Amino acid sequence: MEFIDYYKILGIEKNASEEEIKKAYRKLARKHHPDLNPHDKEANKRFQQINEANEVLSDPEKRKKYDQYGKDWQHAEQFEQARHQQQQRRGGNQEEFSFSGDFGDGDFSDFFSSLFGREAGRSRRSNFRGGDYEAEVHLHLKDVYSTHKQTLTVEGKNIRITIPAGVEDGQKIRLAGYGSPGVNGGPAGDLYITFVIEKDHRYQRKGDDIHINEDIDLYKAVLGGEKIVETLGGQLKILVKPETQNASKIRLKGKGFPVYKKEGEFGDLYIKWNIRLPVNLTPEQKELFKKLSTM
Amino acid sequence: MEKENLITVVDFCRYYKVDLSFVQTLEQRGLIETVRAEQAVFVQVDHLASLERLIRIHHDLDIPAENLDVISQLIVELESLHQEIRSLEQRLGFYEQFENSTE
Repeated sequence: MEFIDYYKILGIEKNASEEEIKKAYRKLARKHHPDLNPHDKEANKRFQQINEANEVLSDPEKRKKYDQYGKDWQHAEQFEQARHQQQQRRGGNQEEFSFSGDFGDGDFSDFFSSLFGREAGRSRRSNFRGGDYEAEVHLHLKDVYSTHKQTLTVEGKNIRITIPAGVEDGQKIRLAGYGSPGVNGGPAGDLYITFVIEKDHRYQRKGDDIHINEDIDLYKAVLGGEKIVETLGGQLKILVKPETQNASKIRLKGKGFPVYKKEGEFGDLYIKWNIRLPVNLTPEQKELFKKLSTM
Repeated sequence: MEKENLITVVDFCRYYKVDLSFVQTLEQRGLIETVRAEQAVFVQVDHLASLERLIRIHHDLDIPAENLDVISQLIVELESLHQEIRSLEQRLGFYEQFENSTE
């Protein structure tokens, strides 16, 4: 247990007046207040120290005791005496809490507790619910085709979450208690995760349906045939009807995107045919096309 | 609105040890909304977290209730900036990861 120099924490001289203590506290509290620094753990810690220093130095009785015993804190006998005195006072002298919730143990330093007892600082301290964290998870469309687990690092902490298949772009989930830890025994905040699904050049998602453009050559479009098409769920062999028109669409029921939290349910897959005309024709091919055009 | 989601302003003020005028000022400044029913005025349980924050700032930093709207607005803007930075960092991380995996 180390001696804590409360004067140093508030940046004041040992003979500082009450007004100077108040002024120093206000200045530092403004800078480090957890509500004004919701994502800064160091600020929270620093605020606790400032609060503790103010708790002692702004109370004439505590300040006197601190000045008397604090500098000689290593003298265990005196500490024991102080603790004993404090223990005797417990029970009938507690004030009501100013704010909701409990103040957990460890709100004050061991040093403070040794001098004044654990209960001494409770009456004037507020507890803080930890701040909420907001995080974004960026995913490819292919990533959300199937349910998978992913580990996120949020504020230095690894959190493993399950991302269900079919999650939508912009969808938000809340993980209760995974936000910033509470201060002075306050509850932890929540973590809100927003899924950001990057656009895919090939697969266009509309709700649970998937739309794709697929090239076929002129001959297959005219005569019909089979075409292997890559989908998110794997390869599909598609029958192309003879005389398929350019930009015409076909619908494959149940071959689209998984429906969120409905296992086994899928949207539809729409394929728009893009007919590619042959290029670099040989003289013979040109001749054949000429013949066709005059028939 | 369900009554179990409401706390009378009188109970609220007694529990949190604030004057009735504090709640009235917050309402006048548009920081909270109260509900009037059965000849009583209530605050909503859903608003407690933000109300507690305003009380802490008021008590700990000695900010007058009349000025809490400014502080509150600045906190919202600060949060928004934090969120934007985090979002950009995560977006950058995503593309860096993608770039590394394709090298």
